[in-house]
Amino acid sequence: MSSAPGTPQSPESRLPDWANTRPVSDRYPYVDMGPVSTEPYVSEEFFELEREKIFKKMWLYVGRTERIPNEGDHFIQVIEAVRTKKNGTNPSFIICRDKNGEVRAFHNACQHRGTSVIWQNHETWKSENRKYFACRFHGWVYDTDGSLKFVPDENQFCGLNKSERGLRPVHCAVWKGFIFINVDPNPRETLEQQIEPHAKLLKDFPFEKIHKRGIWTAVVDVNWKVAMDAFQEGYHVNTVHASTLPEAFNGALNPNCRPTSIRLFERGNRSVTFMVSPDFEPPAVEKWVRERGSSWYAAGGDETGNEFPGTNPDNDPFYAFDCHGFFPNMLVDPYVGGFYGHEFWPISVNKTRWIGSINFAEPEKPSDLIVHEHGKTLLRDAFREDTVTLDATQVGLESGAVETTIFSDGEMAPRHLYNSVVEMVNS
Amino acid sequence: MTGEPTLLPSEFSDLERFAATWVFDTEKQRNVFRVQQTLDDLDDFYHTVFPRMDALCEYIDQFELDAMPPPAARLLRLGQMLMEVVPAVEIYRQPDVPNAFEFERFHIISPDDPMKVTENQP
Repeated sequence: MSSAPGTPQSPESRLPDWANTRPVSDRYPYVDMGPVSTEPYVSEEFFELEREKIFKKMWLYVGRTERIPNEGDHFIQVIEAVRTKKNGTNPSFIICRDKNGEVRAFHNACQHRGTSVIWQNHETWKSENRKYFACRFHGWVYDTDGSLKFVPDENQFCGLNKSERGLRPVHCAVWKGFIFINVDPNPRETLEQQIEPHAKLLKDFPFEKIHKRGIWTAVVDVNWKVAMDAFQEGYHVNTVHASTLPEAFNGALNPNCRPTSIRLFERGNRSVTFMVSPDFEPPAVEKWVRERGSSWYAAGGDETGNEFPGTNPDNDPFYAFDCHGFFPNMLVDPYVGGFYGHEFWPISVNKTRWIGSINFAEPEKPSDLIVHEHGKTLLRDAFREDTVTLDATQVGLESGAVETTIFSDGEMAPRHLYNSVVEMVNS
Repeated sequence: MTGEPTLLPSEFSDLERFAATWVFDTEKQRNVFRVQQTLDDLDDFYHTVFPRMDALCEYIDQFELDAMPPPAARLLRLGQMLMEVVPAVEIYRQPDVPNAFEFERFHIISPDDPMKVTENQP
């Protein structure tokens, strides 16, 4: 709420009235706040429906354009959740910049006898550059636009029409450097429709000046939604982050690390804003870092009109960072100085490939790399705490002893993810 | 008479004892090294390097990131190593994160820093 000129409200008074209200469910009174079945976290049948109705139908984020700046640059993305058979092999995709500078995606499958054309290990995170893609089995050669250019000993094939045997394209679209693919041959929506609320909120955020500087990954024995939920609420901070972040987010004003605002959108999208505790006294080096730049969250105060527009959409006091849930499987967490985020790739009902990363504004001078290293290190160590909860949660869920789960007001993002998944699976 | 060849600029001779063993190019190498040290070693490094950080930054900021002389690049890496060590010293009081996800299952992918080291200098 804005106040009259000359009479600014104190930041404290602009916090939600937590003593007397549940502010998120008051904002969204149509949401049923009761317990929900844990079946969607443990059911193999439900997981198969998620694969069919969500992952094979929606736009999925696969990487940033900065990974493929030049013509012929490419990388491989394995997407387990879009495999064609329940227990089949996991397909991979070639994401490349073609000879005309366009970002494109193809099934990584030779149209001769089906072999993967590129055998690069996707977990190296390296991009490579080739003028052509040559299949290592029999040497069929494809252009970077997917067209089949050369077949060794071509005259020994009967009825081979090269124009019909290019690499199978996959729908591909780019938003602010985020590359998405959609394996549905006829996507029901455009990428713009799917991510519309986030694109609107973050339309001026300077993603193009911010680059990936830290990446961490682990395979966790947990349902993908449980993994995602561990990173989209603040309720766990007091307990899980007692070692890494003992005081930054849980001071006297907000001892339980409640989000200061949550926004629910259509198609499962949502956005959460967190505050930093004003009585937090950073340790010596963090203080030194903050005098020279930013760490992995903003240092509080009113954060409007900064160089990172789109942060703090409700102008909450004591701003730290936002967490934007891009349905289905990505979180983007912008703050004043950069953004971090997560991908959650389902492998099976209880196995997920997690990828966390942090992205900083382009360094202007050498010492910026040192300043960035502080936030990168602390965030990575905090993620080592978040990830420790995951396997343990799935074990309990699969024990049969927990038929329902219940989300608090501050856990509205996990609830919205849950409700949206259930709605799409039942559609 | 000349002394031993040094890895750091002469005005940082007080940090020279770390230059051969605490300088790494990637976050992963720094993290692996950190968890293998004793807290006493980490404390010693922290208390030696942190008071020199303003001077260290002033020195390395004379150069451009795409043309860093090797001694300045080593100083920058020492500064990054300080940041790696900081949470262990200031908060955890042990080398690795307490009660954390298994170190071996957590993979650190280190993208290259946007920095180029010149090759024609010692």
